[in-house]
Amino acid sequence: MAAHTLNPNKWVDRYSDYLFNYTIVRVNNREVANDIISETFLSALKSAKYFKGEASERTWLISILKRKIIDYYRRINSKKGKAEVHIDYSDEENQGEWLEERVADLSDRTAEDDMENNELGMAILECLDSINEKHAAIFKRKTIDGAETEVICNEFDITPSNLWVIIHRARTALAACLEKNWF
Amino acid sequence: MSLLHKLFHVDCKEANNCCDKAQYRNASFGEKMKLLVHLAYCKACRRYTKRNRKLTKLVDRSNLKPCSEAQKKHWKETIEKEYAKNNT
Repeated sequence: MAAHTLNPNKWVDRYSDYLFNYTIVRVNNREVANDIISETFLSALKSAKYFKGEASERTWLISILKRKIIDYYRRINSKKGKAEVHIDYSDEENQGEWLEERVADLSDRTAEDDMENNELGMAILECLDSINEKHAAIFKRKTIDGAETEVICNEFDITPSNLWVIIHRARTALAACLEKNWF
Repeated sequence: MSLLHKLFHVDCKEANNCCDKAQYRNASFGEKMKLLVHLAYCKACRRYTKRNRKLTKLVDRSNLKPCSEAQKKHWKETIEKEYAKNNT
């Protein structure tokens, strides 16, 4: 029995912020990130028939995304005439681990703080996954996109007081989730 | 009852609403005053405010970047098209 199913029509609403923020710190360029995510979605659709439902939809999409990010680095490396990607395993224990699992190491060492903050961002988005979908969408528009209250009210056809009730619930749930999973 | 209290008295629900708005710099001067007066005597709301400010700081620190709405629309269309192609 498959525990998870795929709903491609929901992918953008559910995961695009997550995929985008995962990618942007690793490639540091909006357009490149957008292209990589497009490739990821297309590739995911093509291999949807192999999805066994063992991992969650998001985990599965991230695993495809990681491979696309590696492909991107291979491509730009070979353009520079450096066809080989050298990965030094940091210690004995990690020897033989897949290149895919070490993709984070492609980023600059001095960017470690950025990576940690990015992990925090990922934790926030993961927590938002577990609350009411509409509430999460409204919270993201307000908090991450910084959209004006009126704009969001129009988009979702709600009143400002509805919006603040939703924001309040989302913030309370998010704080509780982060306290459990991040601190 | 002090004058401040008379002018700005609110219940917990409204105080928390003022606090939420303040996290987005959407609180008016009156709302900020209401919150401050309420916090002076309400421990539960002081706790909520502290937690709420911490959440705001975390979200700021996380440096989450918005993804453009136009791009999202483009992805949606691409997925719909491909999905229809694969399932006909």
